[in-house]
Amino acid sequence: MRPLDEHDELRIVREIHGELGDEESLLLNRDLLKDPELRRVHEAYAEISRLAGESLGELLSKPARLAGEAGAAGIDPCSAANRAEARRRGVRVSWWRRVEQWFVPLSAAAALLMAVAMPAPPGGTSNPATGGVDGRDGIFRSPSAGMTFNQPVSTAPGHIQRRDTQRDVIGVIGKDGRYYILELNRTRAVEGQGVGRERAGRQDGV
Amino acid sequence: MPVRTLENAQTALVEAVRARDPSAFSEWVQRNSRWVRGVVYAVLGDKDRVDDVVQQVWMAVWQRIDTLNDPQRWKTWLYSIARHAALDAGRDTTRRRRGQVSAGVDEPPDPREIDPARNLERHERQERVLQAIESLPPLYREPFVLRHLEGWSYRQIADVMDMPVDSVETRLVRAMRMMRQALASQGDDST
Repeated sequence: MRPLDEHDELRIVREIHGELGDEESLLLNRDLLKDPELRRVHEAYAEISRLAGESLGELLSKPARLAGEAGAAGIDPCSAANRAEARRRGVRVSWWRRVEQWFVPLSAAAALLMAVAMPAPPGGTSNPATGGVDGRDGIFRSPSAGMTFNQPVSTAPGHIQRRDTQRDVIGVIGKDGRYYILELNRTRAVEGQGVGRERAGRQDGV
Repeated sequence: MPVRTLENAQTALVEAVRARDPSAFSEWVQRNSRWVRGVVYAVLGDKDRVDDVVQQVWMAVWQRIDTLNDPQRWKTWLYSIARHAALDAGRDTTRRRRGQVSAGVDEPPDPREIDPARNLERHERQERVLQAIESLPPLYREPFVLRHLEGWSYRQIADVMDMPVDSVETRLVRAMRMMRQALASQGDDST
């Protein structure tokens, strides 16, 4: 029996890995029959190779369960289940990422709210019967014609029938440079004083 | 199916991935997930962090697919990304471990296994083998894992690792010898 050298080990390992040619395999098998030490090493390496394959296979052949791999597999990585898994694994999901998914519904809700709450801009056809614009009776009042410098821009009638305007009466300057009185539409009509003279004067810098 | 045909099919898949086809990417991930995990594990030597790093690898692949100039060499390219991601993660792990002790919690055995005693023994043996693999220097661990996980030929390993076949052979022999010594020191009488 001769001492085992690196060349013997190389032959054994290559044989186990199926990398040895036919002729070399025959020679090795002949030596294995003659040399118990060589046989012992061969058995040990073959067992290590088998165990390593088995252990690595079990460890690394898990089904894809990560956000990245799952996403690549067509699974939503932002699903509630995956977020829960991420939290369990200590993965921090950014605040922005969490909020992102609410953008569309919140935007739609905000747009709807604004459409309901905000009046249309002035500039439509004047309705002489009501002093309003585009049928928004009591909400928009166009200024009367014949305005001159140092006079109120808006000259609403002194006494008009208007809706409950105890609050939310505002004045704005339109794109046409005129001053408009805006009132929120109320449920009951009241007799009241026209508004806008003093304000109009101030707005004109008088 | 011959290896060459499989390689060609993968190259076609890679072309589709380069064209930003998500379904092609999904299939590509499925086909290569195992050995990429193997590379990450081989470099890291830490099975607990494999999942996180593999996730980063696939994200990086999707982001950097445009940098793959030669689709024929996709395997080397993918290996390189996986290896570097694992190296980066390894550096992070080393820094973190300086200040803390690992909890050392192992996953429990699969409850579906029906013979607890036998499976416990198998589980323990696998743990010993994995510990021995993790104790190998990365230089030897990489070809060892690629060979035993995927059954890659020495030529395939040499190609992705960009080294001569002789070097792969030498490293595998030394890895085998170290494995034997490590398992013997753990008292594994089978080796």
